[in-house]
Amino acid sequence: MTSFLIVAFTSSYCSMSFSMIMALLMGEFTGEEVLTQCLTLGPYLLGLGLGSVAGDKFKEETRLSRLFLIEWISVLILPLIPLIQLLGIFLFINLSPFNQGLDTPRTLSFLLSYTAVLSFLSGLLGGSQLPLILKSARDVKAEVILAVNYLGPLFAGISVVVLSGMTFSFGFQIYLIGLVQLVGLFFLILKLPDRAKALISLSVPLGILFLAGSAYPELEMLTVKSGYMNTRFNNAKEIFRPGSLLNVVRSYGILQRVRTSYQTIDLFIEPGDPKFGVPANATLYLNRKPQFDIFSVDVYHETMVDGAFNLLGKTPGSVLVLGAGDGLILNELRRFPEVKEIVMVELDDKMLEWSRENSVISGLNDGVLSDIPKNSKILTMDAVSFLRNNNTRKFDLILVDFPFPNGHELAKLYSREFYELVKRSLSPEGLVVVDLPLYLNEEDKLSRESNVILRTMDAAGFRNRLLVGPNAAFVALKTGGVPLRFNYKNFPEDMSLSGAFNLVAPFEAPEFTPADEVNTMFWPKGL
Amino acid sequence: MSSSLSVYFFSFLLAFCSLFYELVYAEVLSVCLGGTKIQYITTIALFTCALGFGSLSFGKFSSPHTLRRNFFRVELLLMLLGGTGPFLITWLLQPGGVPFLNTVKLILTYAVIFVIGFLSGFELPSLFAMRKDAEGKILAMDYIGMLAASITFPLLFLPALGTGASTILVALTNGAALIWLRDGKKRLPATLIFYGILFILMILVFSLRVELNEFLSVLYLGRKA
Repeated sequence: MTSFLIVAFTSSYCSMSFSMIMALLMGEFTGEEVLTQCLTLGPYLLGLGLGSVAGDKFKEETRLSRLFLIEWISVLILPLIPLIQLLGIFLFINLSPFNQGLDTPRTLSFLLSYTAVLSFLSGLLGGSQLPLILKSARDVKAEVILAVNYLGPLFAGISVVVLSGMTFSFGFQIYLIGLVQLVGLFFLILKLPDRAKALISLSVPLGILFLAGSAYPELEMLTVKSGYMNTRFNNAKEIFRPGSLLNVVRSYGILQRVRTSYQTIDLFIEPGDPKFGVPANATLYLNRKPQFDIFSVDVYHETMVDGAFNLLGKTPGSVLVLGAGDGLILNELRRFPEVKEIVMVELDDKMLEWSRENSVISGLNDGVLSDIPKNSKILTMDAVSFLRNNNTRKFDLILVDFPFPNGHELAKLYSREFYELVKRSLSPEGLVVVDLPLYLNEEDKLSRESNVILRTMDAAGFRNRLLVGPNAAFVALKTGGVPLRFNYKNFPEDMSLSGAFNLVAPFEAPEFTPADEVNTMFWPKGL
Repeated sequence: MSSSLSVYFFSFLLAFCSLFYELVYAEVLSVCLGGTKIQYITTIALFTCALGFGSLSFGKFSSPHTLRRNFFRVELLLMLLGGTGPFLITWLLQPGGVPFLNTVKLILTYAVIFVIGFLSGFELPSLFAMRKDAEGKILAMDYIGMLAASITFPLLFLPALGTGASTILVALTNGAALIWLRDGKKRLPATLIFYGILFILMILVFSLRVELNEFLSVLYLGRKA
C-alpha cells in the first residue's frame, strides 16, 4: 500500500517541480515572469490531462510493468528537461538564424514556445502514471491515492519557493528532486516480480541524474556568458571542435554569479586586450540586464546626485534612496555630511551583502556599505511596501534607482500607483530623480517605452519634468513650481568631464494627450 | 441528462474560468505583496492541490438527486468569488493595521484561493456524472480549457482589459453556465432573456474597463495622494 502511495506522491511532486523550475529559469532569461508562469502551467496541465487519458488505455495484465516503464522513463527524462531547456537557449543564441538578440519579441516567442513544449512533456509523463497507479493499487482506496497525488503539486510549490528562497542553484534542485523521484521508483520496484533486474536498471537514471546535475552549472555559465559576449557559431560542428569559440567563451573573462531570492546578479569581468588597446572592464547585470560598467559608473551616479542637489538649489534635509543596493548612490551622498538624514531602502539583503564583500563593487563604492555614514540608515525591505506604510515622513529628495522595466515585475515599479506613492512621501517643495531608460527611435524621438513612463509620471501628478542624458539618463520630477533648470554655476568644480557633459543639454518631456498610454499595476501597458 | 456537446462545452468553459480566477488572484497578490514568481507558484500549487481535494470530496456533498442543484450552487459561488475576490483581496491587503490582523487577512486571502480550487474540483465529477460515457473527452476539454486560460490571460485579457475588468468579464462568462444549469432547454425563452442580460452586462464591463481597474488602484492605494 505504502509503495503505491509514495509513487503517487513522487510522480506528481517531481513533474510539477521540474515544470516550475523551467518557468523560473525562463523567467530569469526573458524577464517575463507572468508569461513564463502561465505558458508553462497551461501546457503542463494539458500534458497531465492527455497523459491521464493515455495511461488509462493500457491493458490490465501489463499495467504494473507499464507503470514501471513510464516511471523509469520519467526518472530518466525529467531531470534532463531543464538541461535540454538550457541547451536549447544556448544553441538558439549561437546557431539560430532567427536570433537577433535575446530581448527581441521573436526570440521571446521562440523561447516561450520551446519551454511550453518541454512543460507539456513533463505533464504528459506525470499524468500518464496516475491511472496506472489507481488501477494497480487495488488494496488502496482511489480517494487516498488521489489525495496523496494532489499533495504533490502543493509540496512542489512549497519546496521550489523555499529552495529558491534559500538560493539553492537549479543544479542542486535537479539533484534533490531527481533523488526524490528515484525513491519513488525504488518503492515501485518492490512491487515488481523481477526486482533484481529492475534494481540494476536504476543505475541508468541515477547516472543520468548525476550527469544532469553536474552539467547544469557549466552549461548555465556558458549560456549566460555567450549571451553577454554575443557569440555566434557558423555551424554546429564548430561547437565541439578543439580550440573553437566554445573554448573561448569558457576561458574568456570571469563570470561571478549570485542568485538571490529576488534576482540573479552577474558580474562579468573582461580582461581586455592591451594589444588592440581594449581596456579591462567589469559589467554588472541584474537578471541578465546590464546596469553599469566601470566606464559609465562615475558619470551616472555623479550626475544623478550632483544634478539633484543643483536642481534643489540647497542641501536637502532628508534624502530617500529607493533601490541602489550596489551602494554607489550612498557613496556619492557621503560627500554631503550636512544632509541630516539619508534613508536607503533596498529589497535584496543578498545584494547588499554581495556589494559589501565583492572586491570590484566595494572598490567602486569605496566600501560605503561596510562603513555606513552616521547620517544614513539602510532598510532591507520592498520599496513599495515602505512607501505604502509610510504615512508620516516626508523627504526633500527621493532618488529612485531601480533596474529598467524589463519584465512584468519591474514594470510595477514604473507604474502610476508607484509614482503616486512616491508623491505621498515627498515634501511639498521636494524633488524626485528617477533613473530612467530614455531610448530614442529611428526618427530620433523618444521610444514608446520611454513615452509610456513619462506619461505615467505625468498621470501621477508630476507635471514639472526635466530629462537628462542620454548617456546616463534620468528624469527630475516635481509636482509643480518653476520649471526645473540647472544652475550651471553651482556645479562642483571637480566634477568629471563626462559627468558635466551628461548634464549639458537636458531636454523637456513632451506634452501628452489623454489618449497616451499610462502604465498601472493592475493594467500593465507599454513596458 | 445533458447533451454531449453542452457538457463538453461546459467542461471547457468552467475549467477556463477556474484557472483564470486563480491567475488573476496570483496577479493581484503579486501587486499587493510583491514577488511575482512566488505568488504565481504558491497560487498554482495551492489551486492544484485544492482541485484534487475538491474532486475527492464530491461524493460526500452530492448525490444523483442533488447533482444539478449542487452544481448550480458551486458555480454561483465560484462566479461570485471569482468576480469579486480580486477587489476583496486588494482591499484586505491594504497597508497598516495590527500585525495579528494582517496575518489573519493573509490566511483569509490564501483560503479564498483554496476555496476556488476546492469548488472547481467539484466540476469534473459533476460533469462525469452528467455524461457517464464520456469521461475521456470531458477530461480533455477540461485541460484544453485550462490551457486556453493560461494563454489568453497574459496575452489577451491582461493587456486588453486589465485585471479588474478581465475577472468580472470571465465571472459573467461563468454565469452563462449558471443560466444553462438553471433553465437549460426546458425554459428556452427565460434562458435567452438571461443570456441577453448577460451580454449587455458584458458590454457594460467592457466599456467600464478603465473605471474597474481604477477602482482596484483606489483600493490598493487606500487613501488619496
